[in-house]
Amino acid sequence: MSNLMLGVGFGLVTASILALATVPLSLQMSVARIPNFAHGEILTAGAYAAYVVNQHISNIYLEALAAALVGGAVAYLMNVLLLQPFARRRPKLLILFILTIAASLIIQNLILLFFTGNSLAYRLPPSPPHKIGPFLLTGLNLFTIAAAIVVMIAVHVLLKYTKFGKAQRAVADSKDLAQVTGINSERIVQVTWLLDGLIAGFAGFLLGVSSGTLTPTLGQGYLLVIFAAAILGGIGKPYGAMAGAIVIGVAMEISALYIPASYKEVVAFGLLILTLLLRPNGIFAAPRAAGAAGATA
Amino acid sequence: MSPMPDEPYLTVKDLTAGYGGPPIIEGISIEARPGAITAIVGPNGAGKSTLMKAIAGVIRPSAGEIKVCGNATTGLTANKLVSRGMAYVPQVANVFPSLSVVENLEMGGYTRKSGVKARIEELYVLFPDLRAAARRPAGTLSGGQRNMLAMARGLMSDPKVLLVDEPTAGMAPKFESAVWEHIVQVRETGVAVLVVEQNTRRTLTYADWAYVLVLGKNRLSGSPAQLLNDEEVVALYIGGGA
Amino acid sequence: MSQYLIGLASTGVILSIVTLALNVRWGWAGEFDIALFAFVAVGAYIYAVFTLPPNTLPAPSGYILGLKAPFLVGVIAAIVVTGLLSAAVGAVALRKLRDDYFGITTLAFALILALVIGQYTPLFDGYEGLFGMPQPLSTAPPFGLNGGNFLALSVVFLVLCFLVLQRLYNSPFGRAVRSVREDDTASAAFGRNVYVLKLKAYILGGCVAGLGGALLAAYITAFNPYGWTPQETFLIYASIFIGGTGNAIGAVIGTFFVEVGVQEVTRYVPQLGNNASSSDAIRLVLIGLLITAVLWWRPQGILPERRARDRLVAVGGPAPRRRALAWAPQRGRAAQQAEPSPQAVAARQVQVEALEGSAAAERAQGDGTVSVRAVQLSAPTPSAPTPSAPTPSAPTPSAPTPSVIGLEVTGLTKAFGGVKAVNGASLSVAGGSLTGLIGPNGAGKSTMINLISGFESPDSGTITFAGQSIAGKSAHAISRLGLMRSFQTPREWPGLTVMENMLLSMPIAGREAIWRGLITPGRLRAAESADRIRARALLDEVGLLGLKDEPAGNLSGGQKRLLEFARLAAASPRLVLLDEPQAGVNPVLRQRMAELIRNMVNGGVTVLMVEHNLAFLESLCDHVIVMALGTCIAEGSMSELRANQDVVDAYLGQVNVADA
Repeated sequence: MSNLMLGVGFGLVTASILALATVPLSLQMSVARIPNFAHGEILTAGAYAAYVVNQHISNIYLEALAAALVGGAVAYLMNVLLLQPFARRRPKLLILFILTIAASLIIQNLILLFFTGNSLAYRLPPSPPHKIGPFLLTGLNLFTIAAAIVVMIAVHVLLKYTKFGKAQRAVADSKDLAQVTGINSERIVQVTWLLDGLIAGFAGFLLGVSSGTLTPTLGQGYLLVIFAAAILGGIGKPYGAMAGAIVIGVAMEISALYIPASYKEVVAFGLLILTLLLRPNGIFAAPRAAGAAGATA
Repeated sequence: MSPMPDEPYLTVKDLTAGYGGPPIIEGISIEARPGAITAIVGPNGAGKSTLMKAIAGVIRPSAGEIKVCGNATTGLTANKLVSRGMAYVPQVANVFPSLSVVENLEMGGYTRKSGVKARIEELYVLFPDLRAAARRPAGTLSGGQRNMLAMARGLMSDPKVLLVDEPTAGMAPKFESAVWEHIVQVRETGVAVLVVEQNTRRTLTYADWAYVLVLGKNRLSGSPAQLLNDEEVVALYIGGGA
Repeated sequence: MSQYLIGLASTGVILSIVTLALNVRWGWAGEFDIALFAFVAVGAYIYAVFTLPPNTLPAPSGYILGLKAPFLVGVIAAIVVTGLLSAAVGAVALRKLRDDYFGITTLAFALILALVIGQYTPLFDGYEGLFGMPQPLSTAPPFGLNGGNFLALSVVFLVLCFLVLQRLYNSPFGRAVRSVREDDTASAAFGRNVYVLKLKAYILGGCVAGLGGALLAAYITAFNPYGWTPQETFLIYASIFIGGTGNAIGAVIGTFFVEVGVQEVTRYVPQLGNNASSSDAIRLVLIGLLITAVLWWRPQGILPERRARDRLVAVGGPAPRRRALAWAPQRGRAAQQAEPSPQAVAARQVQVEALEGSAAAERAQGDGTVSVRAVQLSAPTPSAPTPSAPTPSAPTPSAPTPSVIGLEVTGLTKAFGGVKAVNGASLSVAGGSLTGLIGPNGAGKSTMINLISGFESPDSGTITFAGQSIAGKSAHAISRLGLMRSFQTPREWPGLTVMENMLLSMPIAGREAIWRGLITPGRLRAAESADRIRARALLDEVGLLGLKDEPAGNLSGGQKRLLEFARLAAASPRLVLLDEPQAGVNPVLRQRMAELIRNMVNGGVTVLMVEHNLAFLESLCDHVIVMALGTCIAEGSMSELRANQDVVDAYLGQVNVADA
């Protein structure tokens, strides 16, 4: 039983990082309609930015800040320079998805170009694990979980109580209606991408230090797990994304107790496939998107 | 800078618009005066919704001119029109389903410099049902309540011109009166209300002026009293006329 | 030839086969499959499984069969297994998923496969990979040792692959798959099971990918999971985007450009500092930029999809007389007709263009489509029966008697999210009649059409057609029974030519089976010649014969409507549902349309027409049904209905409504 609890504990750490990586994807998809295939690269960029700072100053807060800022810049520029120009031509959504794939190739390989493919060690000074209730967690673990909770609360407050947050949710509901209400939808979309990058960059930093090594494929390796959590929780619902992350995170860690640990991700991929097929709107929504009420005749 | 009383708040001249193919409406000219309900009616496929969307900046007209309180607004995108004094209430997808009622209203007041809360209070007086449902997500409201909310949202910006697209569509007949009562109250506050509607006869009992659109052109216009008993109107709808 | 060049050529040739596989899935069928390279890998592994000698791996490993089978057996095994795997993955993933989610689902499958193979070492020795696969002809003279023999063998396979795929591409099967890519709703409306077609294309692509994998394994003589990542699939996509989507030669060119050209050019970029992967990195950044550039400036690629040529294979002796519009079912019969003279064709063309009046406004604005409008030669004449039109008359004696097929609907109900669009509606359409269906907005007419044609399924009620109950049947099954429909906006297959659109609309009768396309293309082409002649006659009737080789998407709105009529005629229907046929059509063309509809009915087809333009409808329909608020409230002639107070109230609304 205590093994299970340990598993849950690790699961919470995994879930925290996953939640921090998933919420921004969910926000981004709520305004862009397509998943950003380069999302993993935003995490990677953030991790490497933190690493660079770490090589000069060892200050976890500055590193985290660098990660967030670089992530934000990458995401913002990706939208403004690549996606919005194409979007003005009203292409099929698939074309925009393919563009994010091209972006992921470019970003990942630029990182490869500047940092080589060697694994870079990114370790914080080790700290002994603390026993918190039935869980065994290191200082970094606690920081991760705490950071996740703080950021989640901040996102919640932002979306629920600020003018921007409400406008963002409005644009996610209906870009056209938002325009009609006087909201500059395009501007809101741009800021959403920025926010996506800031949080995802920070998530990348945590991912990097938690795994201890950086490679250019750091983020992409995690991509489908993040998708799994985002789709499970329902696109555009940040709270759903948090729930999805917890489900996937804990499921993965618990499954590691029963099947060889290296197959953890198979569990996540399997859940992703099932969710896409059976509940593409997430487990909290109706099975099929309700059609527009009152089909005109 | 406010227009003289009885000067139309909205003037549309020779408007032509479509969705990229042949124009759906051609050469339409209408006016909407303050403190009056101006109705646009006509049979299916007449282009009534298209006209409204072109005025609201949702689609771009290919010819013609639109003026709100004397300021030209032709070709402006929809979000800029709110600060020019125009508010548009679409027929479908007219509320933000995941936002609460009060948040929907706040969005209506997005361009206001101040006084959002006060304005919400004023609208609660006009639409009491909304106060009771203030915290509920708009997606859980019934169709009729949604249309109310959509109208209230439009009024949040203190518009001079309110465009309403089929406010009674899909509603049970008994709620239609309630909707019309509200529209009348809005008229009393001096707003120029432009309404597109399907139920022609009912609309004519409330409107102060009406235009009859058929196949994209303005065929008739006049006071409701004239139009209600006009055989020509009936013929426009179901044929049998000249 | 140096070994280095042979190596480059071999890579290019083998990967071209893989690109051809992707061309089937993406270029033909529009399936954005990211798992392609997983199928290549499976092909490689299966080749190894069959061709490696026993005791290859440390025991125990029962998975390497140790058959030491010959090369061809390994190849065939690879093809079969990847085909089966494609069937399994496709059966699951091709169920109505949007494009990006479909891509992600296939990627998930591929990653699961990669993980399992990598982690479960007893299978194929995990990340160590397999070695020692035999390369055929590698020891034989004259070019064995430097791989020249195998290169020649690979080229043979590429050419074979190319020829087989081209044959299928040009066959009715290939055309049907491409129609699904263009507009799958229209494909279903004309009798095709879209899911099965997509699955077939997916499996075919998988088989070719398996072939590529086997050849890859034979060439490299080793294989491990590091060599196959989603990135490899994206390189193949880059090859297709650049070379030309849907074009097989373009696929090969693109492959050589990306996999050989870009690969080699970037190899010579000097290494940056200590970075051993710098040239890899530069290459992939370049590929990413190339994909973006191609999508921005030339999305169709270097060689766009080739336009199908319309050619007739010689048919039997000419018939001296032309038949009237052949609406009656003509399945399997070669309709012998003389070709209309070029002058008649041109005259017809000008006629239609004149009828379209000043429809310059109808043309798409500046999107680069070719204007198909010739200069107008004459002013539009208001009622212009064309001089060479055959008089609409009873069907010729040799046509089968039109069966009197009627339609019976009882108590139909359909609700969307709590709103009853159709609420207990009942109507009946007499066989051979031209009946109108009218009603104000929100009456449920479109939903009714969708329910009858199978695009929606009713919550309750019955629909009887030709003695069968069709309520709830799928759209393609209903259209195969002879119940066809038009759409409010015409739905053609825009990237295919007008002639291809016509051929696709003819009764299918098993012509689209893959085996037919492969084995009896000659017979198919001969049978199709009869169809082409019939199609030409139908196109001539509607004045579109001069445009038969234009992509249907380039037609104006009015022309697309006319094409829709011709396609419906081609389908030899028994009953046709017309959904606002004159919407968006200019007044003069409306006359022509009315004639065509009358011809349809005279040819024995039952027609139910939804219309808002009551003048138009009244000139055609003796019997009209009125719907309001989801039920049928009245029927009769238009003058009867006008006198009916309920009908007037439905249209003009009621003032005094019961306030509850």
